[in-house]
Amino acid sequence: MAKSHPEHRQNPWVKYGLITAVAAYLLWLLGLPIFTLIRHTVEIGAGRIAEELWQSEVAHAFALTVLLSLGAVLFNGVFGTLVAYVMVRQRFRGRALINAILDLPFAVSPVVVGYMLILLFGKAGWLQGLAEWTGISWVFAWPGMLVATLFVTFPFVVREVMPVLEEVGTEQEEAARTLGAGGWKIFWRITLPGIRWGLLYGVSLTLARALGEFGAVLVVGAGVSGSTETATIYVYRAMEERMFGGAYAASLILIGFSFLLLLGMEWFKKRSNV
Amino acid sequence: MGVVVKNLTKTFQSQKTDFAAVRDVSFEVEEGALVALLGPSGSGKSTILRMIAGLEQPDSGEIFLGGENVTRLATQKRGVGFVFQNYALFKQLTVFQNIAFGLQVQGAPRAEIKGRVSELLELLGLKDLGRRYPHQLSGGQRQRVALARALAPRPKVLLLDEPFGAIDAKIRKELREWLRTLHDEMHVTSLFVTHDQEEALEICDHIYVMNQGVIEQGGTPEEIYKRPATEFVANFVGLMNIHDAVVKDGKLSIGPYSFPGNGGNGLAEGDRIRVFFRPQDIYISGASNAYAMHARIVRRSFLGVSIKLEIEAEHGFRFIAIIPEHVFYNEKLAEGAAISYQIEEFHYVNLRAGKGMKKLVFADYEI
Repeated sequence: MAKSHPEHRQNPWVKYGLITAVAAYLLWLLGLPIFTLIRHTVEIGAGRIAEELWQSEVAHAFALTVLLSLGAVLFNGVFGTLVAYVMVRQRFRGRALINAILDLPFAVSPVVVGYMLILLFGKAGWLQGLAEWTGISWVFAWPGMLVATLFVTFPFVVREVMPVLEEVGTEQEEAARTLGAGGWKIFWRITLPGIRWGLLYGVSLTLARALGEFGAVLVVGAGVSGSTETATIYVYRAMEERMFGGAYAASLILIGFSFLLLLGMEWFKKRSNV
Repeated sequence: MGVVVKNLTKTFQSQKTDFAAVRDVSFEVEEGALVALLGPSGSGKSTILRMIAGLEQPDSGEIFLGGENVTRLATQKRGVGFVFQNYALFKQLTVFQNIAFGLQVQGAPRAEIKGRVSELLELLGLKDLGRRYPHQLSGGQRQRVALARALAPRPKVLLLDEPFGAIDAKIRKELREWLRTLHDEMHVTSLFVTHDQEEALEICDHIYVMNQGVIEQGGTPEEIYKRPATEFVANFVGLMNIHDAVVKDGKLSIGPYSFPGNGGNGLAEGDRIRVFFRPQDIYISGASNAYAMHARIVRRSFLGVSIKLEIEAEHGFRFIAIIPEHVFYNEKLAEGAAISYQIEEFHYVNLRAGKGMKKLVFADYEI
């Protein structure tokens, strides 16, 4: 039985040739850059890294990145789930159009997103009134940067939760209704647990994207050091100002975050397939 | 606590056409009875069940549960137990938690929940499975958990939507016998939707046969089988031989049989008649019989408990007969063998007058 049919037996040269090609491509594209980064960071020495990294505006940049990322997770986690729920469970006019528009943030360049927000909240913008009324500065300040981050990360949760909701179906919710459960109870005890792994996967993607966002937050916030500078913007500035220790170390920290997220995502993905 | 449905109508609207799923349907389920809604897929039976549960809203008509008008009442407040075809078990909850769900929602005390769930696990033969998750169970076990979950809050009415549709034939047979036994113990009023006539005939007290959104006939399994009221029921429930004939010279001829047109049968000259007779309602003998008709066996199929014979008589009159398998006499009934036969009972519909079905009277004096 183990013996394969002659026609299906693979030429070992083809097999190992393919594997080698794939491995070489991945090594060149993913492995080498990371390895180089680690090597340069080590070479530059702990002393200089500490000196450049241990500054209040660097801490501020990381704090801002964490704030924006958590904001994206919170808002897009809640509203992304809501949008997915409405899209899957409700039938209404214009649903197909909205479904197409949902992916818009993926298609639009982040720089353009930032520019649109400046026009919207800035002088003579439609929402300038809102900015004045709330007394919050949106443009060149973190609220505008949060809106930019929300915009670019919006589709992740929606796109991960929609197919899971579709697959779970409505029967379990109907069963809960016949057993006397009301809307909220059904959502918390039946619907949400049913989609939790898909939701967590979408949230991980949101977090990864938010941590690495550069263009949109730079345009909206202008990247003022110690004020609207995020971790990625700091890396860019540090390179410009030849503070290589800080640039390398900050990059490594960001990569570390991403790596942890990847591990988490693999785990969520496995659970969601159960 | 019976179920009464009055003039229920439901139309599903899609972009192009409206589909009348249920059309002015009225019926009753007596308290404590096990009743089937039997019909092909798309006949509206599941829609009726879902409207009784409040999962769909009727366009018009009323639903009463135990005398109370529940037509506008939310599903949660109707006190029905619903068993879905695909079980619809809560995937992330254990068997125990699934069954306990309804009681928890009602806010029953912990000790009572535990007692009731244990009792149901025991009753449904699921005793050691309380800690398992649905994906660790077989199809038959899942369906029993679904039933236990529906029964736990002591519903007024149990509604079952094709409950055994997704299960292997053999286990399906076991489960339905077991459902009947369970029903006899618990006496909860049950309405059961199925497309499987055998299932309905075997376990139900009363059957409503549905077709294209209307009830064609209601009655006991025996009434439905022996006295089908419409052509659809005759065709759908059990096997039937069907022949078309025309009343000519005051007579209706089916093969070698001749019936008086007027008199007992009240047929007019030229009426087109569709005649039905059951394969089981035919007397077959290998021996020659002076009073019987003569024919030849064209094909013989062995079905286990019975034998199916395809028979051809004079003038190309062909029909199917089913006789019980028996060592004693069935050896003679081989393919090609000459036999004598007697058809015991005919039913007919007058294609010109409508769809009501009547029994054919052999001669005027039978009136």
